[in-house]
Amino acid sequence: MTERDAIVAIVDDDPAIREGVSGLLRSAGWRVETFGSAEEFLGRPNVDTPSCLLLDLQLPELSGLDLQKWLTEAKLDIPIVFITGHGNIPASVQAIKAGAVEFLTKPFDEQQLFHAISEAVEVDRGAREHRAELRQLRVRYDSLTPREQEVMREVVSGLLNKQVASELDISEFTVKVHRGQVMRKMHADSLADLVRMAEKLGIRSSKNS
Amino acid sequence: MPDINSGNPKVSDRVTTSPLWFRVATVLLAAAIFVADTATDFEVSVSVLYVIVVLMASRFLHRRGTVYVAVACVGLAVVSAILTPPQGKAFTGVANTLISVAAIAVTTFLVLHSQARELLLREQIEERKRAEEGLRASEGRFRMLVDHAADLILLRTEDGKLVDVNQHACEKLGYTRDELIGMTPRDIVDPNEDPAHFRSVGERLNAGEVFSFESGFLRKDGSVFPAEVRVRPFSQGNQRFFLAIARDITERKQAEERIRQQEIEQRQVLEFAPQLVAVFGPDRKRLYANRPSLDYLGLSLEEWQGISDPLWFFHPDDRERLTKDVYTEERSDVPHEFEARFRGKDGTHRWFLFRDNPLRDEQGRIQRWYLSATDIEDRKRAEEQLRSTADELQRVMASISDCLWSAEIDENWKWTYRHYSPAVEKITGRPPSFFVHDPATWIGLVHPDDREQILKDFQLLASGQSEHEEGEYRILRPDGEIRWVRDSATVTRSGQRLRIDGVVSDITDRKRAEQERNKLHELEATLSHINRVSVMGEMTASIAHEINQPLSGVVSNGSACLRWLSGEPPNLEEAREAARRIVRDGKRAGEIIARVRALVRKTAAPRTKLDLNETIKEIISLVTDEAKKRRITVRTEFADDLAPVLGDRVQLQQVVLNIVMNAMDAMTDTASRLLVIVTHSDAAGQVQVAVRDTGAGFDPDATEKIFEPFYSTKSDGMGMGLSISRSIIQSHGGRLSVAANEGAGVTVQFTIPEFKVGASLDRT
Repeated sequence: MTERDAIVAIVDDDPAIREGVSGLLRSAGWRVETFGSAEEFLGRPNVDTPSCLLLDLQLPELSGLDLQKWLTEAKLDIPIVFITGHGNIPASVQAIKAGAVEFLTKPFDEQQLFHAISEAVEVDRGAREHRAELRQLRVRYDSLTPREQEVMREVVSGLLNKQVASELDISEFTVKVHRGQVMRKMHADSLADLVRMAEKLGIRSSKNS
Repeated sequence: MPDINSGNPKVSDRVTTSPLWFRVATVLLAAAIFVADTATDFEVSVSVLYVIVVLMASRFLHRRGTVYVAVACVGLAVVSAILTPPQGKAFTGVANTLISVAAIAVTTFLVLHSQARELLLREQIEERKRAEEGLRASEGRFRMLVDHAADLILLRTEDGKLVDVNQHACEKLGYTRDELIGMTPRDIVDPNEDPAHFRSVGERLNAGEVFSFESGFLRKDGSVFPAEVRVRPFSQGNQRFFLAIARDITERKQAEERIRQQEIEQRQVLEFAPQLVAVFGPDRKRLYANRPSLDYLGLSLEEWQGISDPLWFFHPDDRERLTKDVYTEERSDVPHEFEARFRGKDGTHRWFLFRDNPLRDEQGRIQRWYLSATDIEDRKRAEEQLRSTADELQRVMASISDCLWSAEIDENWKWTYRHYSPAVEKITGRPPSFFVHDPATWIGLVHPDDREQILKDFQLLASGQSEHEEGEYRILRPDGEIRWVRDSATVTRSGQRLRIDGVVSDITDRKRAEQERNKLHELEATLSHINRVSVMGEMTASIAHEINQPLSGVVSNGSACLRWLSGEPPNLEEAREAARRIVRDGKRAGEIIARVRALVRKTAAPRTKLDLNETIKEIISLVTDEAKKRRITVRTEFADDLAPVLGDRVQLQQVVLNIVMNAMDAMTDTASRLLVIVTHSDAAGQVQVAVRDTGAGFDPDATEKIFEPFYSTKSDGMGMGLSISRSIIQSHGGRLSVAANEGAGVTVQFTIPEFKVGASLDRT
């Protein structure tokens, strides 16, 4: 039940919904946080736990769609499951287009809800893992010396050691030493591995960029 | 000489008073002569001696008695002659007898003559004696009269010497009569008296005038006293006398002085009196008028005294009346009062009350007339006004359509109707006399369905449990028409008796109007209902959402509850909590449905004490979803200490709903979409509700039009919302108004009076 470690944030201005849904989710083992408005939700501290957002479409002031847009713009991507009192096709289309995981119409079936939540949590978990790997790569990358970073940029752009040496105006031997350091520090098993890492990190050769 | 006081016997009576012996001697003499004449036979005639008898008899006999005696003597002489005829010659005897008879006759004649003359003389003497005595007596009486007169009587001769005075004069002047006689008038006149006056008196007397004057007299002791003197000259023989009759007028003078003093004092008082006062002499001569009088008249004292016509002072319209009623003989010496318009200095007249009172002296003679005048203009005006008010009241009473009645209940609980005003006939078709004295007749007119209530009310009044009762009931007229009346009766208790005063008004028209109004109300209610239903129709989706919310809660909680129960072990605590929430949400759904049902219900609910904040909150909950859908922010600014109001919850919610829906409609195309609902208790005891939007607003020219029925800016609107809302608020005693905001949109505001303890709860 690892997925149940995830936190589900519920944003609904109606306490009946908040309490009902949170109770149901808790009975299924999820950890739940409830918020009465979008603003309240935005005020919560960022937690590095797999989570999802169960968001009411019609909220006073900042609406559900507004919050979704805001989160996207802030790159705070958290998978969103929308809930609404009355199915409204334009709104649901807009929500899904903007990346919502699911669009539920109240009152909703528990299986529907659980499924949507699980899916969202999975999405979040994936996103989180991806972000964690990237963060690790970044840390490794940051541990390189500037010269090593230069060498890595040139290497992943497909240049040979000799070409790198001439490009950087250093000896081929020095390039080899640096390259060995890069491979070690970046925990790269192969050049291909390093290239994938560089891609993830968005590193481009200075020549090509 | 007999005493003058012993009477006045007749002279003839005195003839018979000759002593008895004289009478006896006369008779004896007559007998002796007869004997001698008869027995003797003398040649000489003895019978001549009878002459002596006659003479003697005349002394004590009256005329007729003397004649009888003479005849008897003749008879005796003749008898003697016959009895003893003379011895001599027969002729001699006869001759002697004849001579005797002749002598007796002549003597008798002479005696009778002398007797008559003596009688006459005696009578004359007696008469004179009596006259003298009478004169003496009368003079004595007169003297007494004069002496005892209360006036001084003085008689003097032409040369000025007093020749006689009466006793009173002596006493008054302090002299004896002897002292006074011989004195001159100058000796007894007050030396301070004006000599010129004294002289003029003398001159007038000498001229033969009879006149009166006042003068001071000097007593022997030097004191003086005033007197009123009347003098007249008269002559006795060739002598002239002057008679003076003087009367001491000290008291009168003192009285006059007192009156003068009083007058001076009175005038001083009267000068300051608010009243107008005038003083007249007994002859109505104008003596004095006080300052206020002269000021009022605008005349000087002299001018006032100079006006001869008393009517000049009065209004021309009053003069005839005054001449007829006031200035009359009968009123000339009694106090009287009258009212008249009195001429002021500017020629205008004011009403005054005049009181004319005589002041009399001790003898009851009128000394002064006091005429006071009190300004009664204001009173007259008030009277006039009162009279016109009374007239008006009379007219009002005649024209009044209400019937006033009164009844009495005595100690035996017996009802007696005292009075029914004429209007009763207009109302009941029966005259007042129909009802008076029989309480049953009125009840008899009352509609059978209403009688019980009337009798109950009367019972309350009669038993003293209530002092005032009012009721509306129907009465049946003889023409079959039914009239509605309103009867109100009030009880006043006096001793054992109760008096009931009532007013019966015909309210048939009002009742009809009421019925009309009720119909109108029904129509209004119907329209109001249609409005509510149509607004609710617009909100169907929103309402559905409102119900859906708790239903979602119920479903979620139900599922959760089941899950908690099916766990291993079941989490009963969580399950119970979930079940509790199911109950709560279910109730909420039920409440929303009830609210909606109330809004679409047709019948009006009774008014109750309401918290407007709660009332508005309930309605806002129905539109929340609608607002969200339209992306309208609804904000409430509710006063924490909002006073309660008395109202119909549904109607007031309808008003708020109408206003909110209008506001939301107005914000369809605007950028800013804020709806603020503010509640507030103001100082004037009103609860205010304001709904402010940021919508499109409205044409200021249409401010009043927007309240008209069927006025709508919306293509699908019925145009009833504001019109109905306003009439609902007005029926709650409040006001509904619309005003444009400074910025965008409008504010619709209404007020409702605060609920006060004791206010009627069933007002509709």
